Amino acid sequence: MTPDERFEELWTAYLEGDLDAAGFDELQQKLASDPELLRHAADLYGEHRLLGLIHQGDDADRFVRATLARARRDREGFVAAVSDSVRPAPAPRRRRVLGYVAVAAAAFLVSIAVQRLLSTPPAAPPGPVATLIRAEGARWDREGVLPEGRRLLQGRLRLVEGKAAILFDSGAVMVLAAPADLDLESRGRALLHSGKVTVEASEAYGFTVRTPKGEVVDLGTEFAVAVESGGATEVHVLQGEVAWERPSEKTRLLQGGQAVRFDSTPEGRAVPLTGKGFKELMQSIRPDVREQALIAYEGFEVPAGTIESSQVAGGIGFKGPWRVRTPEEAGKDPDPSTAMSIRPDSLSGPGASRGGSLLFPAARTFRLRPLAQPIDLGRDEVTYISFLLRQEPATEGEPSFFRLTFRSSEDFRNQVVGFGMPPQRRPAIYRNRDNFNSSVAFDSGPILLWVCKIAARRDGPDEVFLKIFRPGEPVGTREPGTWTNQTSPFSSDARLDLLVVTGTGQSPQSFDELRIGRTWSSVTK
Amino acid sequence: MIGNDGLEAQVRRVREGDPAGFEAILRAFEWPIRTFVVAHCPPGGDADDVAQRTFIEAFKKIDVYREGTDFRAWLFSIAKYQVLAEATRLRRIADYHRRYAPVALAEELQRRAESVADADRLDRLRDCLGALNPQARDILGQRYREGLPLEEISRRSGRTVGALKKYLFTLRARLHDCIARKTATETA
Repeated sequence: MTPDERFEELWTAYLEGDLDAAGFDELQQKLASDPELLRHAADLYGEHRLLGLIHQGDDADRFVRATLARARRDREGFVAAVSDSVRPAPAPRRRRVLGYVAVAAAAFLVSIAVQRLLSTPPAAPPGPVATLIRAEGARWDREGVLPEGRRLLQGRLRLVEGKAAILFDSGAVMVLAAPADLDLESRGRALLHSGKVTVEASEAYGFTVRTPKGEVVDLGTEFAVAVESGGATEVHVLQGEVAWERPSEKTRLLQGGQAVRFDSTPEGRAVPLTGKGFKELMQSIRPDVREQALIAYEGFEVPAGTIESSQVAGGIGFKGPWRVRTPEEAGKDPDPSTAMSIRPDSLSGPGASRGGSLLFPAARTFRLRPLAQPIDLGRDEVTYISFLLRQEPATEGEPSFFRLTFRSSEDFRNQVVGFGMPPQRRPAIYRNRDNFNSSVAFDSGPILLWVCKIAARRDGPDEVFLKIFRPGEPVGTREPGTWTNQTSPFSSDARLDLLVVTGTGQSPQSFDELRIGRTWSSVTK
Repeated sequence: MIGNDGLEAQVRRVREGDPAGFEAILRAFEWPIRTFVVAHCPPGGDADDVAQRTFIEAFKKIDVYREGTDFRAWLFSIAKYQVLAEATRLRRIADYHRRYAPVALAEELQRRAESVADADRLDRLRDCLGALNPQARDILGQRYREGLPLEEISRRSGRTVGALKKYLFTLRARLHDCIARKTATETA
């Protein structure tokens, strides 16, 4: 294979989201070592994106409408600002002159601000670095009560009432009780201004809690840090060891069972070890019971056999029965059949459920169901989804391909969040036209539990996560620190009111026990 | 495209609180801004979101645009910094380069975002696309309009996935050459 052919292979795999880690490294090396090839690749990449733009639906006004809607929604948007400032009341001449001076001065200051804005790249907005995984009676100073699963952005966080547990993206879990005041600095670091936190960081070596007196760096352990309002700091090492670091001082190791108070002297003094262990503290947080945590369920509790889609109307949380796509939704790819095949056995096992399961035969099947409560990416909302899927191993012909997507009835083709198992067996998350492919592959054959999470924000980044559990793998009582796949943060106001399940390929696939809920436990218990 | 005088009139309407001025400017610059953002947005970035933010930011700050200067250049400078802000945001994702973009490519795209937009590139691409045979356009439509996976396009077109990948590479290369030829001719 010539170098050109190899580039062709790598480049196409990159654009199609099929490039594995080794290929990625190889492509990077090729581009970094050949400026001409790099320029060519950048051209090709720009043209690839422009092809996407040219082909973006037939709705010529979609972008304009969406931007106008966003401007209207924007709390500090220009429309509101202009409406508020327009047509000032007539004023006497002298005051008017003063008014002009004031306006000119304000405009001058604003223009300086804008010049600064235009002369230096704006700082990136704060990104999500942690997740609120458990809370009991918790109230936060700015946002009040936050839902379980809420993604937390970099920045100040003050717990004014109750107890809570935060899972950092590095894998460290922090338990805190009110009053606590901290800054989430990154996925692996927090600054504790005041209050007490207990950290379990066995999966997050190097997790750091900064305090006014120094920094506690985890070395694979459990520890508690308390900062008093005057700055006095206590470090209690519950298990393992931590490093205590201060600028221009030698790092000091604190061992399990040690507790030190840093007050007036930099070396601190030993104090008795107090405080509960991490596990006990976690168990002491009894999550607030949320009414109607489960918002939709489908267990295919209908007689087994072939049945018209419109007759499959059980479950809860839907606005109507299953249906096939409308001609407009199907485009050039109409559904060959309108029926659904229901198997007598549930994928959740005998006796566990009264219902059967949906069978995707060796054909192309698209089925839709309208949701009673749409998934609204324009609101502060966390939605968990789970389902069971079994894909028979492919023997010959086209391998199976499963997708579960949420779409908007107003913009069926362009507004999508979904999850799928493509033929290469690396699960994917779909976000409009972007594919996020996992590097982990799953064999066909066993029943897999899929748990998905859509973390939406009204003002701020949205994210989508997917975790697939193999048979026998413990699911856990809280969401995992490591997901099978996740998107990068994005921004969307889409309102997804349609559930679409799709099965294609020559080998049968079964789908069952779909749950949509507001908490991890509502879809995994 | 409205002329500069027309633009200034729309800017005044916006300043006076008339949302219709916003819509007029949005429509006038929708495609130039989207083309610029799409062509320069780093891999993994949401180009439409960045383009929308450009317009929202521009109109929030419309009062500081100095009448009589170049509104187009002013708007593009905001788009440029929105693209750079998106690149900065993406770089902060721990495994960004591993997941979405080889470092060299991301840096080259960022470097290009500093340069002046080539607004004609989209029109040239449209022309070049129109010159392809219907079968090629159909394959590209399935890939880009319908967003179908290669396995599905392969099934519909009767080509193997491997052959389809080769064909897509060839089509993209052909479009690239066509754009380069047109650019050379038009700028000669």
